[in-house]
Amino acid sequence: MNTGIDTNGGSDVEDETTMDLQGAAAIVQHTRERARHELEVNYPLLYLAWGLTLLICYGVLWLSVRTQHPYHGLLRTGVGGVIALVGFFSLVIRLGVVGRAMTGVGGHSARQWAIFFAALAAGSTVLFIQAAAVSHAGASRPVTGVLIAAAPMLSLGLVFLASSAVGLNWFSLALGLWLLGVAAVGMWTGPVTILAVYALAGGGGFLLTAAIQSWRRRS
Amino acid sequence: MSDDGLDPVIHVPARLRIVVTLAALHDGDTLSFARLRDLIGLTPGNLITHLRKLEDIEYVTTEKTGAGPTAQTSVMLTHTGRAALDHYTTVLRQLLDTASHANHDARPNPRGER
Repeated sequence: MNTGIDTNGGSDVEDETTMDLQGAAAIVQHTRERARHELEVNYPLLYLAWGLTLLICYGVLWLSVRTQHPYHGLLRTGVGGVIALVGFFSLVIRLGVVGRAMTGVGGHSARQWAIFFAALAAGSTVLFIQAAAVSHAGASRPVTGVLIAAAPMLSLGLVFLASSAVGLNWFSLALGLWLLGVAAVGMWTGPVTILAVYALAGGGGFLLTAAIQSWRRRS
Repeated sequence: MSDDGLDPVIHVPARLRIVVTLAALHDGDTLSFARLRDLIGLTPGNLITHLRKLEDIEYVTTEKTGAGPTAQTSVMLTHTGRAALDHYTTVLRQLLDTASHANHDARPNPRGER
């Protein structure tokens, strides 16, 4: 059953060298460590990138509206800057953190990651559309502002919560619950303070998770 | 099986590296030929030869998708291959333990020397 392998260029001499027991054990250990380092997603780095994304993006938005009295909405420059930052960090996360480990990997895991990112994008998009529809129906600017700010946080929380069921990942479960809690509490603080709450508590949740996972990896 | 109980197909450095690398993936995941070659550090020809031996005893499966320059070959460790590696590492550990105890027992007893 040798289908699939291109035999062109397969003229090298095969290495059938035998090895002693210590040599075999060393190969197993070294190869296992290298494979794990190369093929496993670096979750502390992933959570760190998520945390910085939330901290910086919500922080920039908060800085752009904090002096508004009364509140008249997110500034275009602030929104534009945030979209650029989200795009940049998404690229870093997708290619730098997940992509590095998933290069050449197919099957179950690759499909899981694709669905995860698609769910996140779809969830946020629908919630943004909902905010636009509510605004179109006559909702005030503060109400629309709260809905727009909550959209990514709600989407992140729900996706992390749902994805925790796939591999019974307790970190994802705790983080998903935390993000939903932050989303809910933040909505009561108004269209300006909500951005600071999401930056600190949302971003902070990811950064804390990154620190815990990093500590667990080392110990 | 060889006399010491180690699977002779896996007990070759290159094939051991291939099987251990593929075992690091989650069950049902595949790895592209190019990435496997980069991780193992074998020439394409050598890798093909070793993969064939592993395919012949159904430790791995390969699948080619596409055609021409965009064609990609992916490799997957089968359940049989994963079980074989588990058995191999268990036997290897036992043999190393036995050898370690034998060495310990063979060492001269300092009290006995006096």
